[in-house]
Amino acid sequence: MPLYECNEHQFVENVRRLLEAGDKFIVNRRITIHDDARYGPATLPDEEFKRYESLVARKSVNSTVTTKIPFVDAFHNSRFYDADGTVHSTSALMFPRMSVPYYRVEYSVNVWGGTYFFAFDALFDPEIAIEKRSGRRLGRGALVHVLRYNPPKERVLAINMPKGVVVLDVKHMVRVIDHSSNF
Amino acid sequence: MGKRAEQKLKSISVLVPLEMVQASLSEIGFLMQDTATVVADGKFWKKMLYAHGDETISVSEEIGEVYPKDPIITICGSNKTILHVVRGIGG
Repeated sequence: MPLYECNEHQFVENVRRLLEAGDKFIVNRRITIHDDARYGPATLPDEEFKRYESLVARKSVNSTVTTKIPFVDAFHNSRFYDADGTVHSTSALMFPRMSVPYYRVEYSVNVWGGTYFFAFDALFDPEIAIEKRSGRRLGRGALVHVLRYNPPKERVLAINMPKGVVVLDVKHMVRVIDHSSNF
Repeated sequence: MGKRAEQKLKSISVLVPLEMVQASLSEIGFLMQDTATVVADGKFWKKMLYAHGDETISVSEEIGEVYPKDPIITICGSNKTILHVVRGIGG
């Protein structure tokens, strides 16, 4: 069965055309959380990187990112970063030390045996605060910068549909291969 | 209570500045509710959600110094709202 990839504009306009044609259909939605180092501060555009600028520095997009001050990453088990350390780069580091978690959002609609889908990633929002923390490298009750990642709100990720369009949340979509046309 | 207008769906992709879109939305009482940074088609976008009553409009604009900028406007609202936005952006 063919799978057709759409952008947001195409997907919404396709749904609108189906509605106007009076077709009955269901929109499937799948939202999954990922933290696979796909996005990190080195590859973020300048406007997004500015949100991390109190903690890290880089020369330009795709340059190596280093820490300006010590901080704790609360999302990744309170991982501690010391000052002047390399935390992200587009070239191969031993491991990408700093990564931005994200939601993978997939919308799909099945029509006449074909699946039309639109997918995007929504990055978690960074929040930087100063907190008292204790630890082996921090000592007792030291003030330190803490980086948190807050998930984007569901309402901003949703494609709102008119009443009458059913949106079903799914965990996984299994593609069924139809070999009958080969015979 | 009055009967609510039937909601329709519409997506528009136009070569107009974001400010022009935002001005058109504020004229009819739409306020920004939330934003998110999303990645689609290998590009970074700022997705903004506007709402007025039970009508919603999302505006996605590519982040950074890119040309041309063509915000994607997705409307789930009444015919009147769709018409106003289309006219407001020169459609």
